[in-house]
Amino acid sequence: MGIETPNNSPEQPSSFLSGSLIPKWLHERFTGIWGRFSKAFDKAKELKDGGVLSKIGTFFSELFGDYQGLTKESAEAKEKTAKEATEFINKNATPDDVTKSLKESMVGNKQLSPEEQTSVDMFSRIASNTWLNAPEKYDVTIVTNSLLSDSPGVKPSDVSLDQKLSAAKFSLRFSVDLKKYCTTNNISVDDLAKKLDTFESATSNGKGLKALKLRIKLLFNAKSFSTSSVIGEALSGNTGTLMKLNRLKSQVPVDKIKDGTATKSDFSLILPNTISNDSAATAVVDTIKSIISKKSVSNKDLATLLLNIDGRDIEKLITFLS
Amino acid sequence: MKSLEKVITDLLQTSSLPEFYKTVLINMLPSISKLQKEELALMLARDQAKQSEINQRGEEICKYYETLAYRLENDPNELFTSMTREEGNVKTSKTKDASKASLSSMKQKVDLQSLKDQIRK
Repeated sequence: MGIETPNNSPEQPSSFLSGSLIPKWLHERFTGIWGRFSKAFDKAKELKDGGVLSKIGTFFSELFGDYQGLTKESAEAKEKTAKEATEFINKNATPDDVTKSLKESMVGNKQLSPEEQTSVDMFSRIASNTWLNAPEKYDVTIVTNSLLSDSPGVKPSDVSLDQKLSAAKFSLRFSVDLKKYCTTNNISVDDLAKKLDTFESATSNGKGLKALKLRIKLLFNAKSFSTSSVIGEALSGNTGTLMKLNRLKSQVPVDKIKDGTATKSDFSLILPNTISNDSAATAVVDTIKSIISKKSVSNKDLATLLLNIDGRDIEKLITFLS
Repeated sequence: MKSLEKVITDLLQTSSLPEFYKTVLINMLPSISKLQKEELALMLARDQAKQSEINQRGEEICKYYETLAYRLENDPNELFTSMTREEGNVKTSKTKDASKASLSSMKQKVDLQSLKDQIRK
């Protein structure tokens, strides 16, 4: 009587391959065992020993179950510690502590010119104030991702919806604080553009700024208001807010914005206070059109938008996201 | 005896926290009170104890499966014959491992208590 043999030895599950939640040495031991079981399985298959194959199948499933249990526990422990550390930092850190840490993380050991130093000091100080003084209490991961990440946003799979909303709110509130600082210190659009240039050259990779520019580009390109925009990114998965966004989207002439034919009045629903100021409205609309046609964002574009968009319009967006 | 700051920086080196958290916490050290440093040291020690408990359990799980793999490679028939005979032994081995992990967890709790006593002196 022929022995019915199971199919091939099971492949390593994808969660087994990533192995980022437990130490490397432990992960390697688990994958090593999986490999040895696979070889034993293949050998038993040649011998057509169904009983042995079935037992090895049970080993695979038990091994994977134990691995999953361990990684789950490790992830939960890490998350708990990160949460406690976040609370500790938010409660006890001073703006000086955070400013120093941001500078260290952004610049590393690079020697800076006096101008670069001034720009890095300015942006780090404003960001640390935003972080510690905003009504929302930001997760350190969010601040890190918003300022130090080289991608336009955090990966949806890596963070919760609350964290995504928090990232969007942090970026918006940072832009309000930056605008206030520039207004108080009489920093013009050209001055701010120069500071952004020196900040970009000072930070070894310009990650935070690169992410911000990419976000702005996405906000005004064909994917405007889609899941790729900063707002869409923050809202994915939040049905209630997504419905509000869709209602807003239906009232905004997205197609005209996309093809660069939008006029000032077309922006009045999303930027009412900005549009009511004629010179600010001209500057903002011309810059948006320029970003759409160039498909890129310069530091001058960024400075123009930051200094001309009315802070109340941004506050409205923050409320919208809350 | 190590200073409280040294205890914290040592714990931070092996902590599971992301790098940026570590940078902020190290920069906070000169400006926080002794009480806050104690709170931080205990939080990091709890994290370290938990991570080493998980690693030890992982080590024991791996040892168990490595023994099975070794026996499979040598003589699978012997393994399955003896497993049928000593089915209980496989379970006993896992129970033993669980007891060892539990003992190790208790030891870590005692270590944590010693650290608490040490930093409060």
